[in-house]
Amino acid sequence: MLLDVQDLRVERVADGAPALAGVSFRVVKGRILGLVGEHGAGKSLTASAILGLLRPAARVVGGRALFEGQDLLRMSDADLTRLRGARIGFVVQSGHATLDPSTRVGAQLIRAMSIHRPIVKAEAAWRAETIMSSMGIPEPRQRMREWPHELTPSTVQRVVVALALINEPQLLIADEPTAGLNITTQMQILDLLHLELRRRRIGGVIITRDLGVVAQYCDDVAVMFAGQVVEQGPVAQVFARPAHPFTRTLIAIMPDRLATGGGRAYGGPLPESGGGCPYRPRCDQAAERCATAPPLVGAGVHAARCHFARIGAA
Amino acid sequence: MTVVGELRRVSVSLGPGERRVAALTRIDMQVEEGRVLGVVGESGAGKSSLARSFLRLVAPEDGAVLFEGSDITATPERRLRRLRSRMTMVFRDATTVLDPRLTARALIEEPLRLHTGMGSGERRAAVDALAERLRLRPAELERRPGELGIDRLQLVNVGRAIVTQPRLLVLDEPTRDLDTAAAADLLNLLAELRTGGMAIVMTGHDIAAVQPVADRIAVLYLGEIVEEGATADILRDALHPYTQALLSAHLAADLTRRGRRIRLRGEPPTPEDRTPGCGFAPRCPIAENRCRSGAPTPNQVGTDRRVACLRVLEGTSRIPLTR
Amino acid sequence: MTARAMRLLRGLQDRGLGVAFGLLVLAGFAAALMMRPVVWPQGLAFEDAQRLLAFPSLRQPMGTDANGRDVLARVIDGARYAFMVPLAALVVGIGLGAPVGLAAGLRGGSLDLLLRRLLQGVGLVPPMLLAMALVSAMGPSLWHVVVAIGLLQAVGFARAMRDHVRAMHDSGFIEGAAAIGSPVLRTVMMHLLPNTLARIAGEIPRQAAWALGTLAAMGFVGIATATSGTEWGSMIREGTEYLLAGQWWAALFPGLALLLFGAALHTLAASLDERLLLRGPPGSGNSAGGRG
Repeated sequence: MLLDVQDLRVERVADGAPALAGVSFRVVKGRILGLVGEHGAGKSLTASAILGLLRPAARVVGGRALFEGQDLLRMSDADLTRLRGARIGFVVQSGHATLDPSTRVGAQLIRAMSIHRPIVKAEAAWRAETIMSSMGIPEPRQRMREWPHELTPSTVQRVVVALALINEPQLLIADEPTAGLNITTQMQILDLLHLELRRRRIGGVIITRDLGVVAQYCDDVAVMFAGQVVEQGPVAQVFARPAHPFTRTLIAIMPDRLATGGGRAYGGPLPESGGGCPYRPRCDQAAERCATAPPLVGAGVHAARCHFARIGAA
Repeated sequence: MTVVGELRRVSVSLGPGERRVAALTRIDMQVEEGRVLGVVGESGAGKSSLARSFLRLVAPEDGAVLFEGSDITATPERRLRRLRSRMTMVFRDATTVLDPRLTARALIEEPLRLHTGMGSGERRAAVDALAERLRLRPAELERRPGELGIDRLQLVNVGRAIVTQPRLLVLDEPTRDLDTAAAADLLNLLAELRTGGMAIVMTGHDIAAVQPVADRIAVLYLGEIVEEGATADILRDALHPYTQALLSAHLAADLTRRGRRIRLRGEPPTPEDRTPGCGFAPRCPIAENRCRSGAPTPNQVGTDRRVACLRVLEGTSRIPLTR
Repeated sequence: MTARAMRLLRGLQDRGLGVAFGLLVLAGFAAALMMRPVVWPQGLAFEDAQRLLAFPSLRQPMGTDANGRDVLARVIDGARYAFMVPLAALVVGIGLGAPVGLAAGLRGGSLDLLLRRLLQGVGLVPPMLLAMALVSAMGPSLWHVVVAIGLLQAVGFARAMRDHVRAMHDSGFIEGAAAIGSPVLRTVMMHLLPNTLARIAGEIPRQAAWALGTLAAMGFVGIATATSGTEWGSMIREGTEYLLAGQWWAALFPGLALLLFGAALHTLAASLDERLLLRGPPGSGNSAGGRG
């Protein structure tokens, strides 16, 4: 097992409000986990917490994140900095924000290598060019001399992926890597990520709001809602027999399945805080007992956090 | 069915002086009452220009824009203004269009102030009723744009656009920034409006964005229609290579489709990059030499489909899927 | 200033004390100005030949100047210029600058280009010197001072207006208003102007402070000699003659008044900025709210 996150809790410093209320999931080497949920569910926050990149407004207050035998949540900043970009690659949303606008592309790739280990410039340049080529960037040598703002969005994102992979990490975390990209470009980038993860036989986490990405590119899925993982398991099982009402809803409203004119409201009410199930205001199955925290109901690797969950039943 | 909005051979150019480029070329399109037309295209395709053209928010260089049967291509803005209670638009960016100093209620009410003689009590009641339909909470009506999340803001925008009960509603990528649940709610709302007889034009960056509610789909590439037809027909059997690629790029919940795609190279071009011949030829997996010299126009195929591809009439325009 | 002191001041400001301070000081000056002729009608012109350059005392809390005139009375009277000149200049500045900026922002094109070139040109010269040069050229009259300062401020207001209107145009705000059928004039009056004024509100007291400083500078240098009399800059000029001899009060008190008045204006400006930053205009990305 590559990454084992156990009961991660994060709260807002200002008022102690919980932002992540016990997130747990596992990433297995050679498999890709899709972390899916709505805006504000806590997906990016989870990645930030694990990588030690939380903004001062939030802090970790519980849980463990085990990677290669060490708890990331208890590592020093210095150790985490050594890991990031080397053993753990990170692809962020909005590649424009990642690339340094004042440094040429090639130089950034070289720097990404040299800050982790001593490397001869010629070798670094060669590696940079090679990886850019394998990312499908045409004329890599020319691109290396260019500035970030001269690149097309697709190329920017490919460079960001290259930066994440250049030091041969064991784990890749990609946070909404295709947000804002055209759909044909999105497919190219996802294909690329998928290919690289498989080829290198490493583990990956793809954070997304799009269940379709999970269906088409991921092996396992963890569905997040209001700062918790409400369902997780292998993609095939979860899609075939979703156990949590939220997962069922998400699947039912996918474009090729959505039947309009149903009159049902899918979004709207804010998640419930307090001890009960946070999905209660939006759930069509809510009952008395949902005022208490739902248990984690599981059968093997497929589990859901719901009073009514029955894993394996159709 | 009555045609409510129509574009006849409309061409639109954008940009200053010498940097003028063609955003739309010879577009023929119409939308009928009680129907939803979905216009799909990636960036650079001209969706926004098309949306604006239906409402004559841009003046076409060529061709005619019609509304309710009347030619409004050259109508002065003064007269058009009066029509703007009957033809409205929801813009791509939900946040920047709204006056940040006004409450949601005031924003939704504004078209009523402009176009109707309703008293303030009547307006209040109308907005309350509409808010209930939109599932906007009463407390949210008293908030300002800066205090609302983007999906609630989008509802305010939609409210503003439908409060005068227009005959034609145009939406430019309305679900782009929304969560799937909020998007589903919006699509449901559009379906209701359609049942009520509204003619709706909706643009989207992929077919899935419009598919649940569109009766007809038009696919745009570099300012031209490459395919147009009934949604069900296109989903079942897309004829233009680009449409097929778009469908293939769509990430469905169907796990059996994993890995089988039409893979296009490169990125969607912008109007400045246009090459002679078929605009899609540089990226088309089945392009031939004649595609680069002769530009195809949308040909009628069968009774209800238009496709702009030189190969479609021979029946050789379908691309085999690769793994 | 220590960081701690700064935090303290910020804290006070957040509680609206900044605005309170600013308004109180200005109100104080205004009250004193209006009451002096009532309470102390002869204080201004009376020249006490027995007490030339007298040290501050109970009877003359700010002492007397070289002509035996009471400094306190004159300082209070000088507030007249501190109110009038910046205000008049603002009227000129906004009256000229805002419409030009509005038109340039809305229309774009050649008017906008012209304005930008003008801004570039004017921006090359330090504004205070430019104002002084204008007054020298026109002649030493108070009106000329007002016009000179006003013209310079017009350029700044035009630019602020133009930038803001352009931003609203580019963000699609103006198009959105057109799409619901709002006539241009209505959009401008009901949406554009209120939003812009809300944005530049902080700028107004700041510009007033600049006008005050420039007026004082002119008075000090002796350019606008027609205002000599109780204008604080000229009072300082007259008073500095005796500084070296150790008679500081004739120069210091007008200086302190200037400082206080300016500080009040600046605090008002800062507070206005703070309040308005929370609710930014469209396209500024300045709104507090929405889901994170």
